[in-house]
Formats: sequence, C-alpha cells, structure tokens
Amino acid sequence: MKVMIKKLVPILVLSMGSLLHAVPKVESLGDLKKLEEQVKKVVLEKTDATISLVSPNIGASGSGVIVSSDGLILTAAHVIEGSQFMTVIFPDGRQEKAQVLGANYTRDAAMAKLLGDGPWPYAEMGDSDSLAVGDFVVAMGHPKGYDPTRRPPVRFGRVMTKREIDFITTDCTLIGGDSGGPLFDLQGRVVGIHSNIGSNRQINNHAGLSGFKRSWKNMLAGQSWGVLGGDRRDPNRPVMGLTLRKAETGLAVADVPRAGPAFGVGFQPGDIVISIAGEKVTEVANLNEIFVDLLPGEGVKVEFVRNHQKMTKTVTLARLGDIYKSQSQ
Amino acid sequence: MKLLLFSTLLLTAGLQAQLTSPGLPVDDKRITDDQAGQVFKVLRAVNFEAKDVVYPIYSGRERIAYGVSIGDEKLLTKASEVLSARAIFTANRAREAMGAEILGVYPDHDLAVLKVPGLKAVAAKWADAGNLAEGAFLTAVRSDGEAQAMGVLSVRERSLKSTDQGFLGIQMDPRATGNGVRVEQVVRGSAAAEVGIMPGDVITMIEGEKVRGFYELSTRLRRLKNGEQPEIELVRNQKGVKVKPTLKGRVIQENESRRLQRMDRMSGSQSRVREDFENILQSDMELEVNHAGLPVVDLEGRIVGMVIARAGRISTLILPGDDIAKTLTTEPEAFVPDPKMARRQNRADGNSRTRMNRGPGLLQRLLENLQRDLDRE
Repeated sequence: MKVMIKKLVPILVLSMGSLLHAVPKVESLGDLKKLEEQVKKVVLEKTDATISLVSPNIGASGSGVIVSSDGLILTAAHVIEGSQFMTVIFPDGRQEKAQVLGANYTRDAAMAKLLGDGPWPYAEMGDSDSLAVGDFVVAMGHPKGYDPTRRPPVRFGRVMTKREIDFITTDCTLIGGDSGGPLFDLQGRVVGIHSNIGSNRQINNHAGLSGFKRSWKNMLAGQSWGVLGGDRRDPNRPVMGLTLRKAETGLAVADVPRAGPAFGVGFQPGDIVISIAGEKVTEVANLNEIFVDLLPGEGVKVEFVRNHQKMTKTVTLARLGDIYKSQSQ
Repeated sequence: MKLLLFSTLLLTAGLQAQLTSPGLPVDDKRITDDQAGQVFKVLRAVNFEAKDVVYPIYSGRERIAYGVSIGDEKLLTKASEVLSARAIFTANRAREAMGAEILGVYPDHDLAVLKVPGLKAVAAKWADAGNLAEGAFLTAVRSDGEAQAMGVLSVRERSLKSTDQGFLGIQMDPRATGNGVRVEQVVRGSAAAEVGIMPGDVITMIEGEKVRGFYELSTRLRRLKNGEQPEIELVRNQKGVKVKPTLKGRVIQENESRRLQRMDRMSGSQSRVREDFENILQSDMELEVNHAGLPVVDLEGRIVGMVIARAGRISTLILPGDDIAKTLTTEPEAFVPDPKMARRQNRADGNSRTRMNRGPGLLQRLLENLQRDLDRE
C-alpha cells in the first residue's frame, strides 16, 4: 500500500501542475484584441527601461534592462565580458555610464549599475519558474546596435520550451545586439534576458530571471564565475570532492578524494547524500542546477545517511583545479 | 575615417549563433502548434476583406510574389521580384492562369503595376498606418483568407534612407564623455567645413541642449533632416563660438559585420531590394522572399500596408497604406528594362524556346504546377 502511494505522488503533482497552468487560449477576436492591448501596454511602459550597452574599449554593443529606480541593470554575461564600465544609451539617445558588477557566465547572466542618482525608468522583475510552454511574451532590445532612427524593435511570441539551468526558448526572433535585452511577460515584468539563437527562427534562447535570482547575491557582490555554455572541466568550478552515483534514496558516495574538502570533514564511501544546500538530490545530472550559483570558498550544508542515521555536515567548496591538479586536465 | 567607422562597424555582442542548437521537444511542439492553429483560425475573421484583393504571381513553375488589386485589371506588386522574371501570370479565383504585363514602376518604392487583361477584382482600400502603435497586431493575408504570418508592429514609420538624415561631417571619438564632444576631424566639403568647424573644437550644445558624448550628439544630428540648420555651440581656445551649419545628407554606408550577415542568412531568404525605403514599417512577421506583395491588415481588418521586403531574421518591411495610396495618385514611370537585364532575359527566353520545342506539353505542365500550388495554399 505504502509503495503504491509513493508511486502515485509524482503523477498527482504533475497533473495538478498542468491544471494550474493551462496553455493560454485565444478563442475569439475579443481574446486577440485583449492580448494586443496587453502587448501595446508593455511596449509603451517598458521601452524606456530597455537600454543599449556599449563596451567603450572593445566597441561591442548589446542590450540591457533597468530593474530598479536606483539603476540596477540586468544584461547578458557575454555583453559585459572584458569591461569594467559600459556606455548606456537610452532609447531617446541620452547617454550615461554604468559600472559592471558581477556575472555568472554559465547562466549568461550579469549585472551593472548606472552611475548617477536617478531615479531611472525601470521594469519590475518577474520570475521564469512560473512560465510555461505557450505563455505569451514580448521581447525588446537594440538589434544590430543602437540606432537613433528607431526605438527598440518589439518582438512578440511564446515560450516554446524550457531548458536546463533556467534557460527559456521563445519564438521572439532575436539577432546580434539584442543580447542582454529583456523578455517581458504580459504584465510587463522582466522574465528573461536574451542570450543566444539557433538557425531555426523559433529557437531564441533567454536566461530565465529565476536563474538571475538564484545567483543574485554573488553577482551583486561583484563576483564573476562560470563559463559560457557551461564546461564541466572548468578548473574554477566549485566542487565538494565527492564522486556520487545514483542510489535508491539519494546519491551514494562512491569515492572521496583525499585532496578534497569532503574528505577533510569526514565523508566516507557508502554515505548516501540526500540534500545539498537545502535542495533534495536524486539525479547526478541535476547537481549542476545547484552548483551553478555557488563559488569556491562558499560553505554548503550536505545532508546524508550513514548506518540508517541522518547526519549533516558543512563542506567548504574547493576549485576543481585544486583537487585534481595532479591529473592531466 | 577610423573613428567614425568604429561607431558604424559596431561589433554587436554575442548571440553566438548555435548552429547545432537542440530543437523543440515533441510535446512542447504539439502544444505550441495547436496554439498557433487556434490563433490563425481566429484571424480568419479579420482577413475577410483583404483576401479578395490578393493574387499570387507566378513565373514558370514558381510563385515569385503576390500582388494586390488596385482596380482596372491592375495589380500592385514588388518590382524587383517581377521585373527580371519571364512570362509572369496570375490566377483568378476559378484557378485559371491569366497573363500579366508590366505597365510601369515606382522605383523609390520598389513597386510595379501589372496589367492583367480580363481580371475582375475589387480595388484594395488602403488605410492609414500612421496611428498604429508599436506592438499592434498585424497579419499578412493570402487569397484563401488564411494568415501567412502574424506579427506585431516592431518599429513605426521611418525612413531607411541615410541621405534623409542630417550629416554634419565631423569625426568624434565614441568613447568621449563629459561636457561636450571633441571634434577629431572634419570631412572636406561637409556642413561642418562650410561653417569653419575645426579639429579640436568641443561641441557643447545643439539646438539649446547640452551634449555629453558621441551618442547624444550623433542621435541629435541623425534625427535632424538633410537641409535643416541646427544652432551649434562649441568651445574653441576657451572661447564660446556659435555656428549654424546647413546639414547635408548622410553618405556613410553602414557596413554590417560578417557575423550579423551570417545570422540573417542562416535564418531564411532575404529580398534583394530591402534597403533605402523612405517610408517603412518594420514587423517581426516571419515570411519568405516570395511573400512580398501580401496585404497587411490590423485587427480591425483594415489594409494598413503591403509586404515589400524580407530583410533578415527579425525584420519584415511593410509599405504603409497611406503612402501607397498617395503614390498611386501619381503616374508610374515607364518600365525600361536595362540592357544587361534584357540580355539575360533573352538568354532565358532562348532556353525556354528550346525546351518548348522539345516538348509541347510545357504550358500544360505549367498549369498543372499552378493547380498544385493553389491546392497547397
């Protein structure tokens, strides 16, 4: 009986999820007109917060969006790469300066801050967790760079799929220069930041705002980490020093290298890890979702079972390169 | 030219094209396809009037564009798609092929007027596009009443012609910020040279407003028109100087980086003529080159324009309805095929004659192809 209930749980959760999040329907001209009004309102109110960002030294140009009246800017990590300051150009041509804060390259997420007092035009932040396939969205940006003859071109579309580490794919067509620009929901909240495209026009990828929120503290503090597109061999990647394998109730420790921090706090092969940093772990492949926001030097609480007893230890994360430096990587 | 080129050859950051980007999961594709089907079904209600004025234009076995009826057995279409094509024809609602000939052209608009003897079609009522807001929904309507694409107004009416924009003729450092912008060089014969602006001058105000950098000044200038006379204040040897140059047209060619060109190319076909329009709307409607000439309607069903070019991954260009109506009150220019094109055409005709000799069924085949195309639509 117990087993059956366990098996039922995930199915129930799934079907409830889909009930809660029905694909938005357009069944009449009235629905379509209502949708159009929402899009026009987003454009009218959020255009001024959609800025062009130019790297003064490299000359590369991308986009960004202001998310607070004191001038916090969200953009793509590859837009600010190699720059300490960025030239900010508003849609009306006004020119300002921003200081680059931090970036999580794996998420292609970055922050900058306008110098000067403000108040600045801004768009409120939403989140990408609650977005579902079929949700309508509006994209803006400065495609092909700032152009004084036009305001940021509007693109309308839908969420086509959701991907790993909070990336979203929409059919809002993007091109070079749009990078870092905002994806809005129909309430005009920022739900994503433009990142990259596929050759298919329906594949336009955005870093989801929930991912920004998960990396918030470290980015705001000016930390830069990660690798564009993700790279498991990145020597700066934070690691615990545990080799984990999928087990029935969690992840089983297969190996504890002596050079790693997990060895230092007493982890042993056979321990079953059940949560890391407060997140339940069941698949090795999903660990990336937790570690993508962490930095070497940060402490994470690891909950595990040893001899039928639940225990918790804090592991101070190390650099991958420091643990495995003897190996040829 | 180095400094100015820096500003025009901006490397637009990133959006590294991932040519191998994974596609869409089957379940998600089904959801979004169903949703699109729903929207397109609703759109039939607004496409109602426009569908009666659209006609496909064929050359040989291919549909090369669409035309919009302007009455009097005439269709309006995209000139550059039909001028070099041989033996163009359309089809009436009974799916009978009807030959078309070129009556005249409006070169600035890349428009051609075709005469189709025997065509009975009502003339399109062109609506004013001037009051469309950015974000307004637009559809490109086919003759079967279906939307070929739906999109929004991305950018409202503007000129793409650089010579319409004011050009002062100075080079500045794009990195410059502060109180004013230093003139690095002056282009010979330019508006700046005419009023004696010199390298080393620092431009502080334009039309009574302070400028604090390259982008502010160039935005102000490019939003002025060729021929305007802005008052410019500058500092020379610590002394204030006022000048009033007569701006000329911008002659700088904006070359796009190879990366940008590649992104556009990989995202579908682009019209050969897609630049320099004087009055144009931009939409994100996803179309192909041979959809030029489709009428564009808003949610009220008004024909607010006509598709005139596919201009890259994010851009479809639309001639505004009011501009088309105004243009049609003037006489089109006579169409004189340029000799080079005529030579090419002769060669093509020669080829078709040979083929015709080899098989008398060519016309029959053409009609069959046409029938197939119409069925597919």
